[in-house]
Amino acid sequence: MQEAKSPLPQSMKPPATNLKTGFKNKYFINRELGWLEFNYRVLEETWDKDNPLFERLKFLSIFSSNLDEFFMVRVASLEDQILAGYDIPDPAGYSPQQQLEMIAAKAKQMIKKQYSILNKSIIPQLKKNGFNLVDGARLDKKQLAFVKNYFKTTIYPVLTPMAVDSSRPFPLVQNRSLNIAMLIRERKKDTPTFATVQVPSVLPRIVELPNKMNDGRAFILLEEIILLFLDKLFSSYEIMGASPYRITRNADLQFQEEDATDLLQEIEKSLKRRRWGAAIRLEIEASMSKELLDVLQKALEIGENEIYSIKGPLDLTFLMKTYSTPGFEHLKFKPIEPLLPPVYRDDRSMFNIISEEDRFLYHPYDSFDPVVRLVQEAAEDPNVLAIKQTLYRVSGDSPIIKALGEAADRGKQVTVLLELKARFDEESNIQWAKKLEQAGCHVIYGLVGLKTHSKITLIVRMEEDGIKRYLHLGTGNYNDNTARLYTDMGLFTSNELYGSEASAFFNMLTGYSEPPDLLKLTVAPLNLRKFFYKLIREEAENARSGKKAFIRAQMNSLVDPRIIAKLYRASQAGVKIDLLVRGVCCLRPGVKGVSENITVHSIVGRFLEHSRIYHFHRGGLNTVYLSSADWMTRNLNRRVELLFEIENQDIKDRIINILNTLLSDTLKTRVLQKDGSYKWLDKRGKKKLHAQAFFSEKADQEMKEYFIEKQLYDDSDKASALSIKNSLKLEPTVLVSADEDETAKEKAD
Amino acid sequence: MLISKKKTVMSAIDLGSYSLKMKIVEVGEDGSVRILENLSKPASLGKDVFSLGKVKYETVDEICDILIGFKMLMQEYGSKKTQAVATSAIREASNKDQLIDLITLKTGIKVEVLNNAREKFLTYKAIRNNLPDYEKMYYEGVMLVEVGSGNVEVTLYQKGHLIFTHSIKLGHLRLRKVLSSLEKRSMDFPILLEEYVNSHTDRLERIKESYSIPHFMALGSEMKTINKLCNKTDRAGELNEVPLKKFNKFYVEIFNKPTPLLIEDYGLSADLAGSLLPSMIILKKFAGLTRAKKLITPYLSLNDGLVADFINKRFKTRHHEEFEIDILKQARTLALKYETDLDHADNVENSALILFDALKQTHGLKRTDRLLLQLAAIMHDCGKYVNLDRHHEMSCELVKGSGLFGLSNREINIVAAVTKYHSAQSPYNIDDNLVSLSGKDRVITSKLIALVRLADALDTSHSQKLKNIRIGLKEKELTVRAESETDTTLEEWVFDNNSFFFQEVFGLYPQIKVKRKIDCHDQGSIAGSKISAAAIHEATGHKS
Repeated sequence: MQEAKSPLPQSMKPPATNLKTGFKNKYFINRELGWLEFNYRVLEETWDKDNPLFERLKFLSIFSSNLDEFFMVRVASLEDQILAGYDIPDPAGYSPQQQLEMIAAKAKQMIKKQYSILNKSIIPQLKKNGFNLVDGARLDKKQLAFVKNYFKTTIYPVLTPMAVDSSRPFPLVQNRSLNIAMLIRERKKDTPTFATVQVPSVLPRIVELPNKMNDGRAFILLEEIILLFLDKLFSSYEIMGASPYRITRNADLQFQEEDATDLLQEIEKSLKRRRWGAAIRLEIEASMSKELLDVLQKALEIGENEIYSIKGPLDLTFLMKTYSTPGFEHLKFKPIEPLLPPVYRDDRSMFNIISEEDRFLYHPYDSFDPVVRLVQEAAEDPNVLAIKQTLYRVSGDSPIIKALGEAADRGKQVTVLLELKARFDEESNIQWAKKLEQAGCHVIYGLVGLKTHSKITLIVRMEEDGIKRYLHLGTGNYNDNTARLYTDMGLFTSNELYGSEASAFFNMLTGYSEPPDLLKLTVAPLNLRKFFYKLIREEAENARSGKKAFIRAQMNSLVDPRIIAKLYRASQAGVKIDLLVRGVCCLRPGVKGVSENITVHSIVGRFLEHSRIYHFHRGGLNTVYLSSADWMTRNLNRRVELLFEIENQDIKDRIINILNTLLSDTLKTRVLQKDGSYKWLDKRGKKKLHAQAFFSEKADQEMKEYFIEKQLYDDSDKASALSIKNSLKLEPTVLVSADEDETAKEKAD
Repeated sequence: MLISKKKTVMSAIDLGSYSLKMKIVEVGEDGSVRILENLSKPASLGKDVFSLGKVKYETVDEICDILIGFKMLMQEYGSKKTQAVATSAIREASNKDQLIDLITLKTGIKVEVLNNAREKFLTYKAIRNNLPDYEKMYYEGVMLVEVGSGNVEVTLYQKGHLIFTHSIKLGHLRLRKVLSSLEKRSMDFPILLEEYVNSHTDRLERIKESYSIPHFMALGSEMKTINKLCNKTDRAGELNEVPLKKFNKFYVEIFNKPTPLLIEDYGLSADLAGSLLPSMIILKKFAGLTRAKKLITPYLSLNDGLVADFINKRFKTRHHEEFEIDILKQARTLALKYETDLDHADNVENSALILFDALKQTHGLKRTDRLLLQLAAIMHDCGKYVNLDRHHEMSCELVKGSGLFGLSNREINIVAAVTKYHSAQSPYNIDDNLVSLSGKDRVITSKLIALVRLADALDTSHSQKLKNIRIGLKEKELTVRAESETDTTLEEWVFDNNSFFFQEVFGLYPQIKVKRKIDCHDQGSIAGSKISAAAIHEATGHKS
């Protein structure tokens, strides 16, 4: 990136966007730094001793894979901006160049921290627990014999070493692949030749070794084995030095959608392109020699600032696989037993259950099964005429996809709106699309220029009294796997008003009709932004006229500058605003005269906080909305999103309670400070509460009771069932860690 | 699949000038309507037709794609009944027939091209079926104005009856096309528009003096937008009226705004922005002819009319009877306009109905055919206004040109054919009027002709001599029994002359038996003298 760039002629530069927020740059937090802060909160989980060891391992891996994606998309986009001569500052006032510099500095600091945890805390702890990561130089005889054989029979056949000389150009190194760079020479007087070999991604990164010691099991990293036998690759050459490296490439997908006649083809093409985007980050082991680095840096055209020198194994994403190594279950979270609420427990049809009243599910504490069951029942029910669903990220072997295929087989009208552009999931999505089309489903690939992010299922059923519509609306994707890891909310309803608007919404997506006027559903990009403005303004007006006014919301990210400006105005008017933002937050809270009435909490924990809840006081109406949209510009402008009101009082109360619990969490909450950093909540004088654990233990408890009751009921011994049930009384909701002061200290660190 | 016994799902499609619209509704046992889908998809039919005179091939393709999408939705609801109609754009397209055929071929959807009157009739039907206080308004007096792309339709109701209905070539698209050359030349285009509209409506000024109309109803696809903009509300449907004050205020607001600014300021599509001012000028003009303080905008569309029509026909609702009465009233007004002997017309109508009802088991005709019979009976003689000699032919032409409101082209053709053959010739000749009808319709027409002829015969002398008419049916014979105070030789003779045609059509031999009630006072003034020249002419005509 050091070579001279020819900037675009002035006329071709993108126009300066005037954001007209009316607030100074300094009141906004830079989005990229905000994101790095979020990822740091993930990293913090790796030294929280309340997390079992293997979970900490997993968080290390998540930190790395998050960062990879961040580089491929966000950093890449900044690089693109610089290349295109676009140097408009962000709402916080930083130019793309400045942002890149800040990112590099901060990311390097965080990675340093990551490896310090790995080396000083995690690896020793693993050892204590019988998981030994062995250095290639310290293998015993038996282990050496094992790796020698393993290299010969398993690794060697899949290695493709490549040397670089005048006739062979620098090979294309795959994005995110781990490689070993080396300098070799045939004779002493030759100038060294550069060679590289990819550490095969088809083989497990970590290999178990025989271990006769009494200290548990032993493992070695794949690249360590290869390094041991490098001389086998270039038999007549001398290896002068070798070291692992890894590159990250620009992978931001930018389609010229207006020109694309077939979106599917366009994405398939772009997938191939992604592998060979420009290199934007080079990771090397700290021990790499200057000579080797020089060759790499020149060949990859990478800047000084883009080199990440790392003390430890590169690419920790493999720890996700290590996490699944059998035999260490005791070092992980107890698997959660999602609660199947009582109403779903007998054999009643979902249609009956939903007809009675609106139903609500809070995943992962509540089971996702009813959602899958609804689609399955719809597929089998002879009275169901049509099923329509939006699918964004589907699980590998999705029972929902299977049911949709079956429904089409049975002659039902099945319409699936599949979003191909779900980032990094395109390849699997294309497969599902083809499969569904073959089954006779009407598959639509979204609107050009807009990602379909809304989560909605509509079932049309012919009943005794005529047509009836059933609906599921959610904050999360129809993915039965992530439903166990993400917190999300979902609503079942057979409310006719919602149903008919859902139909209209699908007609808009399928292109049968122009967007209609809707009253119950609010749709982005049509009017969601305006609607949020209206709600925020309403609170501000109430506050100004001396009435009570508050806004409480949970979302993944808060980025949109115009929404932030509206929130500032509301805060200035006196509206109390409490936000739960798990990820990026560009709003700067607590600034006197601007945002002193705003608090921002972030809960990062075992489950990914994914729900989007918006609660407005509205002069006592206490309106609660759920949505698929965050307060991000892309959600409000470039995606098809839905917002719906919760009208059922019981459900509304429950959601308000959930919000209360999340906002009173003390053990996992970090509070955004005026300076953009996050601090652990000051727990003094507060009841200790771990919201996620509270919810999951409650679900667990109820499920246990149910199983016991069921079993005892089957034994027709109700009396003892009752006594056992009573003895299993719910645990107190507050979870206190044994050594709280010490942990608190470590966390604050 | 479970089929709901109580509910019927039907779909109504309207191929309009700007867009294709579809409603899928569920109709309950009691005629209640639930809208399942309401769709609208823009299509450039009107643009093609109003500028090229025909619909382009690519547009046909585009329309078929949309219709195929609509059809998929119909299947999703198990909709079995589909009513598809086309309005002014297709009506005026030179390639209308190929177009309709191509659509049927590609989509399986049969499209009926509505005439102007029937289009208006369906819209009003939608109002009757959907507006709760329409009765009150129709009684107190209401002006209905629909601003279409080609025409403006004005109708006046008072005391529950239709006062007049008028079609003026002043639609907003037409206005823009006519005046487009001026738009660039004149700075004061809006004023010019106003003047142009005034010049075309001056003959309606008398309405203001002659009638006092308290209600004004505005119809047409632009009304939703106009309502939203005038009321300054985001969500339509909150209010279905616009206070005249707000209307005028907004009128002033946009009067001098060029179209691009309208698009930007109000987020309108180019089409809507272009038609906004012309539509408002027209509405302002007409609203000024009434005493109304607000514009009622019921957001009803042709599709609602199709649905209402379906329900009325299926459930024979009260509204349906009201429509029959309206149409009959129109026919009578028309007959009166042509100085018809209404006593005779009513008598023929009555006798025809008696025959029709008596033959219910044998004629196989429907309720709608009964209405056609009535209409033909009422108007059969109106051609005499033009020419006594070939009055039946004139009647036929007058009926065809009358624009009877609410009848389809097919129905008008049947009524016209019946009036044409009500007196003399047998309808076997090759005749344009009959050729345009399907075989089935020709049979219906023949049956109606036979009935009108027989009924006409019963009042040959135009003096309503026969009273208390009863019908007897016995195997192959139909006996008309009646009483009379005077001599009915003429009637009986004409009746006999017509029996052959009747027998051919129905397979029944008609006889007449008149019981003479002798009344001394009137003995001297019986018959003969009162037989008009026309009656004699007609009577002798039967022989030929």
